[in-house]
Amino acid sequence: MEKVLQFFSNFRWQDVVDIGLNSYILFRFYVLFRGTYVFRVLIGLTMLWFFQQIAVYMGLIVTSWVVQGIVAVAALIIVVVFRNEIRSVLQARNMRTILWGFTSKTRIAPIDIIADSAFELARRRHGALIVIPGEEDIQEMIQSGIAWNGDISREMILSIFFPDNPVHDGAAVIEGDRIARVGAILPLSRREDLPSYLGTRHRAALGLSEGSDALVIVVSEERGEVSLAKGLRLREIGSSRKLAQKLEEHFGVADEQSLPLKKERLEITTAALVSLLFITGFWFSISQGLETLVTFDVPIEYQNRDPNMEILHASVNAVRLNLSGSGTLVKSTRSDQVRVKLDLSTATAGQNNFSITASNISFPPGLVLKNVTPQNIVVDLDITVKKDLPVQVDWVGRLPENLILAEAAADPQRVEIIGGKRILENIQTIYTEKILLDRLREGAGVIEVGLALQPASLKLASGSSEKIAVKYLTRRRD
Amino acid sequence: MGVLGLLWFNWAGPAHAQTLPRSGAVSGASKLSLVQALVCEDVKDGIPANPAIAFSISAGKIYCYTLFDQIAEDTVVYHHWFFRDKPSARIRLSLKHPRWSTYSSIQLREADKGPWRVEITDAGGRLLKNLRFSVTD
Repeated sequence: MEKVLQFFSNFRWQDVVDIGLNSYILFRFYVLFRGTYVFRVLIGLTMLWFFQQIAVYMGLIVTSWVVQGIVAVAALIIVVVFRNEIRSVLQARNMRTILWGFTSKTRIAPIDIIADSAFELARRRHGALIVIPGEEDIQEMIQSGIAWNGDISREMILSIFFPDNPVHDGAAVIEGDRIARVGAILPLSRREDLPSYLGTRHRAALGLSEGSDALVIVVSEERGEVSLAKGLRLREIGSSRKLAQKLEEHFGVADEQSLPLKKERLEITTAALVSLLFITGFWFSISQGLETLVTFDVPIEYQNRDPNMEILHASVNAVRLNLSGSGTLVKSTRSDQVRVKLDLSTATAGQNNFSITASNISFPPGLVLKNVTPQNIVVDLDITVKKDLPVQVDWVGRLPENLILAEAAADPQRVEIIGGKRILENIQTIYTEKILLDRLREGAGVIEVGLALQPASLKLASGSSEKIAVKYLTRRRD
Repeated sequence: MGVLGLLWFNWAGPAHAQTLPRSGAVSGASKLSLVQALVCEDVKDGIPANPAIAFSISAGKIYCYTLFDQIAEDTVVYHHWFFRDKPSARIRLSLKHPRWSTYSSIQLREADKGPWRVEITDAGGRLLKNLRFSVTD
């Protein structure tokens, strides 16, 4: 009980947002991609991942490697192979639909249009065969036909079964609110107990209904009657209202709400709950695992330094942080995610003492700061000034015994240097880089050389030459 | 740092002698004219030998030679020796009316390799000359 209370006391509002946000993102992925091949493959990948976790847990080394490899490659392949599907899902929907809209998977056929059309065909004595599939897949039972995928309308149904239409003898297959296929050939019933007046069209209707849960509307060309084949029965329907009623029963449309819609709502609610449970479990596995301690040596970042001042010296360049958290969090924490920042806005020229507190340190949420070493640091700051200094040539090496370096002059003779005031106070001369006397020959010459700026914090002011021309004269010793 | 300050009195003749008001040492110093200043390997009979700006450590000793004119009255000058901008020696040298040469010297050791300079100032601290040179291998 105490542990439960302790857990909830550590539970932050950010954690609730974290879980809620990610659950919603997962849920939205489901809503957007359900029914597509991408979603099925994703489900397969997820199962593979679980399988791999089980294999690791059970110590099946090779199996876990193989499954891990498959998951890794499959994740790449899914993006490449299904790029068109992914693109169509994302492109076909506006931002509102992507973020919170729902597109109904179940589309209800316009029952009244189908019913009225069937009786209009009967009135005109145009034979027709309309298939309305149930839950079962009837793809394998239907042969040939032409893919249509057109919206259902009275005119369209009448047109399909118009006697001069090449596809009028075949069946029209309705899926949802569309005519999916026309001119389809249905299997014929082999029953021998059927009345002799029933023609091929009726036998075809029964052939399909006997072997599946599909509903088939038959319009007799000879008698101008509308019949309905369902299961083993073939019933004559007297009115379009009666036909509509039968169609509603087939579609499962109740008075107030359809069963498919109820099922869909249930499916969406289940998906939302599964998303929430999955993310919650995932969050707990990451943030509430076994506590692990980790040490980071983090360089100190200085902020808000007065541009007229520079840091001469700091007692330490990095602080050691001891952080704790779940093993997963600690393992996934990169060194660049842990930062120590020190605000120098209140610092003055000279030595400044700072204490490193939690407010100076940033690290990924879920980790806990245990210790900071050292807790106090001293930062020595100085005001930046310019100083005009003479240049002196720094000769090294040795001239030949018979020669003397009689004259030498640097050009320019003076340079302007930028640096800390206290540093520059003790500097009266800027030296060139070392020039080797051994290189010199008798007579006059010029050597170009750079400046040796020590300490390295010193800089040449803009406009001062970086190169110094050293004119020299050697002569023979007396 | 082996530094040896020496006073060399050399009356350089009346050619540049002028009648100067005797208004005290500081006043005399302010009129002081530095005719020659150099660093050399030796000073023999008041004459600097082998003036240069780079000296081998093997020379053992180097000299800063100065010749003054228009010395209104007896006064002093200073030779401030600096090694890498750090004061190494401050040598007080006397000057006699009306023209005088004098020098100071340092004994060289292995640690003395590097850039040097000698500031020559009068009794009032006015900088008369800054000589720059190097001690090398």
